[in-house]
Amino acid sequence: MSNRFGISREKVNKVLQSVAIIVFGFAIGGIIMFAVGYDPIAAYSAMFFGSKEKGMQGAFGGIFGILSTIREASFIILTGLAAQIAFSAGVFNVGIEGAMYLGAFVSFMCAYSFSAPAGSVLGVLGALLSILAAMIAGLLWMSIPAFLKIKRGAHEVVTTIMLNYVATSLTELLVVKFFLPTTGVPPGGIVTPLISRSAMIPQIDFMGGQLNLGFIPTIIVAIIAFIVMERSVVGYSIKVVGSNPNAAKYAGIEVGRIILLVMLAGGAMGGLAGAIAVQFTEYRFDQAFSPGYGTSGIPVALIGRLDVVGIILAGLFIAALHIGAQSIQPVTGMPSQVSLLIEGVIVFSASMPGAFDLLKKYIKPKGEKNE
Amino acid sequence: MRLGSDPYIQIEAVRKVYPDGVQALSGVTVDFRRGEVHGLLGENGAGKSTLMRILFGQIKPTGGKILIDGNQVSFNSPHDAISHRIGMVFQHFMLVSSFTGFENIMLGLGTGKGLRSEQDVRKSSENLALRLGLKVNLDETVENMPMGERQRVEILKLLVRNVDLLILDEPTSTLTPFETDELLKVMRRLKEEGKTIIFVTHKLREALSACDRITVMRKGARVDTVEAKSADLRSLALMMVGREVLPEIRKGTPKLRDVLLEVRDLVALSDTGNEALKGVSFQIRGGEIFGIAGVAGNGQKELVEVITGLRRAKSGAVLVGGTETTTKSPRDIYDLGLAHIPEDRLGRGVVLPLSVRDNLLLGLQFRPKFEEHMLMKQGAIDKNARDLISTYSIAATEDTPVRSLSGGNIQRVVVAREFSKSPRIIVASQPTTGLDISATEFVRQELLKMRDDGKAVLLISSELEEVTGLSDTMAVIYEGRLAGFKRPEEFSAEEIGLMMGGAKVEQ
Repeated sequence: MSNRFGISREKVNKVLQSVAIIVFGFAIGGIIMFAVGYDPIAAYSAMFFGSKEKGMQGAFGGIFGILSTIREASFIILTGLAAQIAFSAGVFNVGIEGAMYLGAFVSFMCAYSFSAPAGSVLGVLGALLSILAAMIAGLLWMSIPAFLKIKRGAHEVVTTIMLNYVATSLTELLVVKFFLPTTGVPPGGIVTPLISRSAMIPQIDFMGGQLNLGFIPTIIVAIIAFIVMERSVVGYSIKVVGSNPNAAKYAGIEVGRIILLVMLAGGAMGGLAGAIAVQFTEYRFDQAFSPGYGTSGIPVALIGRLDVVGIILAGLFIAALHIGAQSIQPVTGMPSQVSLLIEGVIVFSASMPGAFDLLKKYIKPKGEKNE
Repeated sequence: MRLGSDPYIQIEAVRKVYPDGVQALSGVTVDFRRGEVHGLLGENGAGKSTLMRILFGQIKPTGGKILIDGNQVSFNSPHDAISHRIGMVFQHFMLVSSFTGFENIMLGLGTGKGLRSEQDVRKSSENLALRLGLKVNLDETVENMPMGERQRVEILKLLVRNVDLLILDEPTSTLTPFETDELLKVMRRLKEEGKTIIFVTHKLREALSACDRITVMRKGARVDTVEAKSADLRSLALMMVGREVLPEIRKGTPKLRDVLLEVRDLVALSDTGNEALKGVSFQIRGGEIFGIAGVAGNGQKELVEVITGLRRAKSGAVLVGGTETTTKSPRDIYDLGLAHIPEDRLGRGVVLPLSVRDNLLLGLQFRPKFEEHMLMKQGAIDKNARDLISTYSIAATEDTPVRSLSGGNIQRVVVAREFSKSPRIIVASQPTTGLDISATEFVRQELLKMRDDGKAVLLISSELEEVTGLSDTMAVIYEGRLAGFKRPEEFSAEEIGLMMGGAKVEQ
């Protein structure tokens, strides 16, 4: 049933299913646009290819659009992988956003307080250590809901959502308390001063645009995630725990340890996303840096059907939708609320097959009966 | 509401065939009279619960009819049954554990227009409870109630809904002896009130003491209905197990080796905190099959779980190959050479969404043969899957998700995997439940092969013929105690029936 590339029929079916439902989502979006009096073809064309006259590039209509899509995708692929590893183990970790905020702040603190000549060995080391510190911060942050779940049985959905608020508010408080008195409230909102030059990972001039290097750590994480999930005993154990915890116990797998592992790994990945925001992108901690990167990981993981390659494609897709939607209003004059609605409809419908995959586990197989 | 001989409920030629072809009932005809306590006696799989769930509208019969006072009825749901004044208390209670007793009674009665008010329901609950001696604290949360009280809430729930017929499915199985006595008293009072009770059970003494008439079922059919007064333990036991339980001799004499599995005075609690095992001891030597017969729910599950490390014993010891394993993890116990064919095949034995290949690895994933530097050896895993698929004739490819396999093939996967662990001890729990004839025969032959190879086999099954046919030594489990310990051919059918029904406990 599978050829030598490991492409099984089941996988092909999954891809076809996902593509069909995405087309369906676009169709529904088109009907909505038509109903409120806009031309769907023009809007979708603006979304993906922009418009030269209006100076918009959409998601792919020019180098600026493409590079923005890639930058955006780096974040949500990373958070998508964090969601994937948790979902695979049956853990609904929705706390990546919080881990990311904490990671971003710790990355900023390290990169701000430390200084070395830019480009020196010490400088590179400092930059790397700041990234590492961010990951550790995310990991430690996530250990709170992990222990609450394992030791006390507190459901991770509740604890991680609450901790997201704690993390965003806590970092805001720290910035307001310790950094705004020196900078004053700038027009850009609640932001810190810049980090030291040596900790900044530069953006590269690329065909006239600025290439954000955040995609490099994301690709490294994706490769590791692929090896762990598809080739390692740990990945096997994660899948068994996620599909049937009773069978996992029976097979000698320590379920608690696996749950701890996936949550901590997700926290570290969230922290890394935060470091990318600070050290690769903004070069400061900006309280409003995330348009919901952490939570976007959930639809990315679902659209990617908990498969690493699928998640990379899904991340690019959602990033393209998000970047492209910003071109619709200037090009067609459609209110931005409508384009947000369209984006939501498409993401929602595209997530459905993956969501049903997860729900299937809660539906008992037929044929079970007493007597 | 007098105790009459006119049939109140007539069940005529009711059949049930499940979509997978399993025939649970093969044309059962039985009648229940108004105001009687009617025992429904039988082993597992006799069809008692299926019949009762049909009467309660929970499953639809494949054929036959049901008449109430001579009028044919057809139920689409338990609601229909309740509106015809038929109610059922399940073995596993259907209560919301975070609600109080009263809230559970109210649930579904509502307070809207045309429905009964809270005060009204509370008043009638209190009156009924008082009159019938149903001790229930209506304002206590169900999760804080002992099992007996939860059951009384269930009964009260039905009485408030004005049912005339109460079906009690194995009502004493989760109760302490004291609570059982209380329940039997309540049943008597209900009868005095003119209620009809169907008492589903496998316990002979309880059936004899509580019932007016007893219907015995076996293998989806009614054996007979007798007046309790004129029945005795022996005749009931024999009807329940049938005459043809004499073992089929198809194995050579065992070549006994050292003791490989030893259980000493084991006491363990069930999930609900009752003592499920009350001091169980036995030894199994290499080259021997030790069989435990008995109706499910008498401690078999807990025994298997303690031996395999999935449940902690309260006291006593388990020794695997001479090593004490009472506090060891399942993984450590597997490493000592124990393999486990679990009773709950779908819930524990396999991971349904994963492939046959991945399922054949379950529990073997840590072995050096399949793991190196934390990575899986794909080549070895693929080869292992291909070899086992052909050796055990599993009708699937390595990539097929186990979800899409038939029950028989799923069990082949489990058996193949467990035997591929090259174990010294095999714990096989209900290994052939739900399998067709060829798959059943396959599993039994494999167990005999293991025995002839000098392994110790613990066989736990509620299929009596399986235990008598395969075991070298057998015992019967009843309420957490083992009795018997003889060669199967030394038992008479009657004796086994009596022990399974708890009428004779010796050790």
